[in-house]
Amino acid sequence: MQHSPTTFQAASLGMRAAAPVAVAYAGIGLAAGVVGAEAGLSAAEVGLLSVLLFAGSAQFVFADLYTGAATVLVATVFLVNLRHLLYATALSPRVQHLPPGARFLIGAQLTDETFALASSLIGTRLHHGAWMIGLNTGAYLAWIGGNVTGALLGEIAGTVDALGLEFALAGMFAALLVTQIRAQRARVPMRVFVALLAGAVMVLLDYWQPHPLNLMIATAVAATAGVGARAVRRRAVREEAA
Amino acid sequence: MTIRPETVVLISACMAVTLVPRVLPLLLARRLSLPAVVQEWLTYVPIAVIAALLVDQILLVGERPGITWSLPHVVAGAAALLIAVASRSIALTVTGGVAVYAAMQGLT
Repeated sequence: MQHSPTTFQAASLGMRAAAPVAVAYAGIGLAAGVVGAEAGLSAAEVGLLSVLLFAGSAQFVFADLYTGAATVLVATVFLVNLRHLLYATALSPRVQHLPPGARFLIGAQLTDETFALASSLIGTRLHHGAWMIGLNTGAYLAWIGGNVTGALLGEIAGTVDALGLEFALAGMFAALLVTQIRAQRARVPMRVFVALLAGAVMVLLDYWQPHPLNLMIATAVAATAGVGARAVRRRAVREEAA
Repeated sequence: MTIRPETVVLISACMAVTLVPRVLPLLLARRLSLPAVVQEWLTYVPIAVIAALLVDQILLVGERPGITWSLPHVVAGAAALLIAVASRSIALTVTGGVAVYAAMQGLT
């Protein structure tokens, strides 16, 4: 974006950039809608859920837990979505020059994929808020459309287990993980190390006790180890040079 | 096509706890500059979260604690990672993973 495009042009460029995510979201949304319908949610409720929550993993959690205790449901959704706090913090310096309304919108539509995609595309400073809002909105509309379609199919067709749709979320995370690791080419080994460590801690914690908090603990341990390992390596390089 | 009031309450509560972490850093942190070590830590967070979630989806799928070794999940998970490395496409990875998973379920 070297020439300064109009707000409309920036928004439509953003929407175009959303295409790969939108395709994935329509598909995963379809899966989420089917799963929601099978859990007893109506198509209208699934629609409302995807409009207000716009969070894939949390919506699978919602379908799973909404008939149980409300506090467990809300606490689990909070923990599963707490990673957005870290995305928003990471994104924050690049959008501080935008007006509060634009920042609110960008934050409200923050998801794993749009964050990953935007981080790799916008560099150190987001020039046009409308670009990011366009990108987010493209993904958002595809998500809602997929969800409602899936819920309607689920209501009509009943069980569609054979399609393997419950694996859609895992496939999404696999794609995201590879994207995240590749985001900075120079540090791929360290990033692979952090990913493996997070997975290992997650498994160990699960043997001890399956708990929604395990996700946060595994994340904090692995990210801290990554910072520590790089500090140790830097010191080793300095000592060699000395 | 009904919307139950209690579902609306639950969805609203979930929305609130999702929205606050999403928007608060963007609204509050005007001119906030984080220390380099915190910034570095934050770059590792998404990788760690997603890796942990992926492990949860593929290896920790049963009710009981510990690794489940469900063959469809493990094989489809490995296939999805390979497709992701080769194709660099979220859509292809999801589609391929689901297809392998469905095929494995048909076989086992």
